[in-house]
Amino acid sequence: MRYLIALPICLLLAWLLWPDAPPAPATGQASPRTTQAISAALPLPAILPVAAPAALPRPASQAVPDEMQQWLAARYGSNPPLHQAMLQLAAGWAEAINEAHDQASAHRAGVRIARAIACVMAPATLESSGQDQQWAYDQIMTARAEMLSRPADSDAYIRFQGLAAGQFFDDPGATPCATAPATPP
Amino acid sequence: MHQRTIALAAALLLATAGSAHAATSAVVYVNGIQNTFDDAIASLQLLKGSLQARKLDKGYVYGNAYNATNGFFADLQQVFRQKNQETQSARDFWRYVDGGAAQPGWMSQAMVDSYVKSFAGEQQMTELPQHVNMYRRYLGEGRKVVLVAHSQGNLYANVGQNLLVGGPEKALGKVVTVGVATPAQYVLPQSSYVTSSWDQVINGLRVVKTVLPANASIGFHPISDMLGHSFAKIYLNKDYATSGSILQQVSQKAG
Repeated sequence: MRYLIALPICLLLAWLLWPDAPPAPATGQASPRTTQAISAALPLPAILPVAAPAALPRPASQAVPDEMQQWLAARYGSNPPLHQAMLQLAAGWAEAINEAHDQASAHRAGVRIARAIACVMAPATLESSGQDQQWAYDQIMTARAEMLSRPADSDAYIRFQGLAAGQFFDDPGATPCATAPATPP
Repeated sequence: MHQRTIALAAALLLATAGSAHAATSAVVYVNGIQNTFDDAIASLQLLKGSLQARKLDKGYVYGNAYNATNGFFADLQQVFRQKNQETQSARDFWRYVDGGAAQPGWMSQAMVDSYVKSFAGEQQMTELPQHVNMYRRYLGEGRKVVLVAHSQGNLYANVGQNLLVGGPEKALGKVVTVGVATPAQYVLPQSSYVTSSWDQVINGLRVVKTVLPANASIGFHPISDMLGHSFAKIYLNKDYATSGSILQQVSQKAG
């Protein structure tokens, strides 16, 4: 019943408020100014980082130790989508180890890890290996043990988990693999 | 003029869509203290993927309410280093924790001990403001909130649920829990739980504390998880009956 009242009001408002602006030039992407305007207009909660065009993730290979990169290449090199996703995940772990010093930086690292895990476990990624999510789960845990093989890194990761505790992490959604491309060493 | 016509059509579409469809439910995974960050995140993806594979996902939104570890890993790591002085490999520690390698008996016992220790003092569970705020936001969007809580996450889920049901939101029936391997003594109305009689962590806790009785029997699966407690490797393992039961309960509650 309520929508019978809301509907005409919406129609009237749309008609009255729509500006007679000249048509915008056709472009494939929103301009930075448009992106900023949308970001400012949306009521995003404080825990969600607003992605600015200048803050794209760094290449995944950066900060991932050489031996870990070699380990990932030996294990997943024949499967580029999975290799790429695992490299992104290792970059997230590296960020958690090296750059998580307070709750905000732990949240940033956590979001990066969450996105990479969702990418590793995404149907599109698993399709290339013919495996299921349970298998992907095991791969993630095995790789994480390898990444934390140094006691100092292990300690740093435990600290990161403490900083991430009590925080909320949104599911990355339907396109978790849409991150900056990783640059192989 | 042409733009006005488009705006009119868009407004008509939005108003009609808004009146015809309620917002979909939010499914939130609430982990326990013995879940690593990666385990918690991967467990949510496993839950989401399993619901989708069974065509039980009706466009839900998902999230992780990541909980405190209460020093669980630091304590456990200390035991590991003491027991493993000659071959200190942090790699092995994480393999044991994640069940990627069969734990030696002392490690399994240390895990149960650490877990029981975290409850020994009957510590007061406090609300986690960011989690409760997120539940409020979902409710504000017209969503029902289904908390899928594992292990100690059940205690946090109960606290959050109590706040929202007893508070101004009066969210009875709008925030519900599907508890898994629960150490809690109760579930709120319209919530439910699944605990395996082979879960050694909950059985260990039962010795010192009152917990809800086991209501599922899936046998001993030492290769999957020696303790029979893991959300991903035991409870949501598609080879065991608990998986179907959990997914059905989530689906029924989420609508």
